[in-house]
Amino acid sequence: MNPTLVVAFLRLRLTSPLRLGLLLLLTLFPLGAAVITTSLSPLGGLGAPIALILAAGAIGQDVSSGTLQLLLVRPVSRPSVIVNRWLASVLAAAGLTIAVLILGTIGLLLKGTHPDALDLGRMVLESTCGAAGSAAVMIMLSTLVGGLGDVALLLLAMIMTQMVEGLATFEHWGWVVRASEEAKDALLPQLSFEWMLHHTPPSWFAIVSWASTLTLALAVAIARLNRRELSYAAG
Amino acid sequence: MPAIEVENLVKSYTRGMGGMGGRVTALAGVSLSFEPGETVGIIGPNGAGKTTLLGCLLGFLRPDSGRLAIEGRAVDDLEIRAATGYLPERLVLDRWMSGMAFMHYHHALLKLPERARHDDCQALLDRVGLDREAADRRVGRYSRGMLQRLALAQALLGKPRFLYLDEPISGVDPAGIVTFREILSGLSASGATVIINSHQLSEVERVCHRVVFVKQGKVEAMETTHAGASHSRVLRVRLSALQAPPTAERLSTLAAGAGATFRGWSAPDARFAVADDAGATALLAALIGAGIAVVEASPEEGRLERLFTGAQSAPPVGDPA
Repeated sequence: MNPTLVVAFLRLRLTSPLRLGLLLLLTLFPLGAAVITTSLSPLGGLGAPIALILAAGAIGQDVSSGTLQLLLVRPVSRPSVIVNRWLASVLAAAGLTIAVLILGTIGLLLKGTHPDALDLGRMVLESTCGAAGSAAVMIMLSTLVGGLGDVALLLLAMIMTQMVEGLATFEHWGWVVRASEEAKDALLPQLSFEWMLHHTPPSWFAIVSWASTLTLALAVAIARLNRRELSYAAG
Repeated sequence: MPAIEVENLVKSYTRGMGGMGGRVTALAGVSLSFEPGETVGIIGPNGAGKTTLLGCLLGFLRPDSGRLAIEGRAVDDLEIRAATGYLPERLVLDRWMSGMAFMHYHHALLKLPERARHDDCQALLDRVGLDREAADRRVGRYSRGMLQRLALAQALLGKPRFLYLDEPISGVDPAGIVTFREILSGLSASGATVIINSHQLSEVERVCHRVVFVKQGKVEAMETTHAGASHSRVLRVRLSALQAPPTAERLSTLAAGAGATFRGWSAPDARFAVADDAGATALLAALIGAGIAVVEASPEEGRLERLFTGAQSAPPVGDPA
């Protein structure tokens, strides 16, 4: 881990009014809902969207603006830029999720409701894993297109898979439905920790599937950035 | 061993969607070497391949073929990068940071000692003429000249042994240009290899030891400049108008006796080719010793302009860089 890269990336993200506004919207509404309904459920799964907001344009924006060149003149390898920006997104998303969960818990305690500690732990783990998976996919997309094109690419891919799934369900194409579901899981890799509450063994298939999707996304991102030509002479 | 070696470097780009626009050759077998302590200017018309050459040297671009080595290592070797400074032409610095925070950031990326961070950065900002108020200001609010100074300051962090400057004085005021010259002079004395990509020919001629003229992706010519004191050059000697002008034969004989070559005579200036600084001194001593009243002597300037103008009249090439 390169703390300089992590801190600089987070400072850049948290000084963007647009991103801050989106983060506030994303966290305040569920927080209010949690307090009103005296349940932490609305706060579940916050990690993935927070990570998406933070990781959007992680590479593409710097390539488009040209700031990546000045960074790569320094003794910093291209893979380390990918890994540290991914790490920064995950750490920030996990930290924000924990902060929101703490605020939600305080709100619930003030209303006389005691949240289940195990459930809180599950939510933290699920949010962190969701953030790790989503940030990896977003950063991979960010190496493919310039600016914030990764957001458009992700939305397009999600709409396409949704449409294909709908059509396949209507036409009873079982394998296409299954493929669409897998594609959706690959776009936003999540990992469920429900088994903690039911005292059942975890699904190793789900863990391996999540970990392999994340690893593949980061590997593609590294390979793509390693091959990318950065001079404006390259057009 | 040369500091930087470039051997038969070839680089081309595909154009259009899916390469349907064909391939354009930006560098067609460039071979160069740069010595430690040498300041070299790369000049040429737009699209000649200068930016591509710099991009390859900095590891931003992958050559199609050929060899690039910096102190015998790959251009993207992290130890080489730690000794590299770069001033980009497009000053897209991190605009959300203050000037000082930007310097701190690059100091940290270079893994330089943290305890010296603020002092190192402050010293360099002072050196390029950015005051405390400017250092605390957001980079996004800098003028073009201030951005240029900040970019130069960050390029000098860590006392680089290899410095690449892309249009380094574009937008800089005269005081800044003087500072730039002083900094370059110091770098050269410290043994740093400096490569300057610039269209400011008079400045290149003034600060560089050698100039590489690139055209259509090839090294068209290499010129030594008067900044390269150890290299041969043409000396323009102005003679007093109060004295009857000497004959060309006499000047030729005197020059030959001092190891120089008489190049021509256009009253009141005579032109001589000398081998180096010592040759220039010997020539002037011979002229004065022979009773010829010398009122001024200066290296002949404007060769680069002539070289450049000749190139500009050549047919344009569809080159991207």
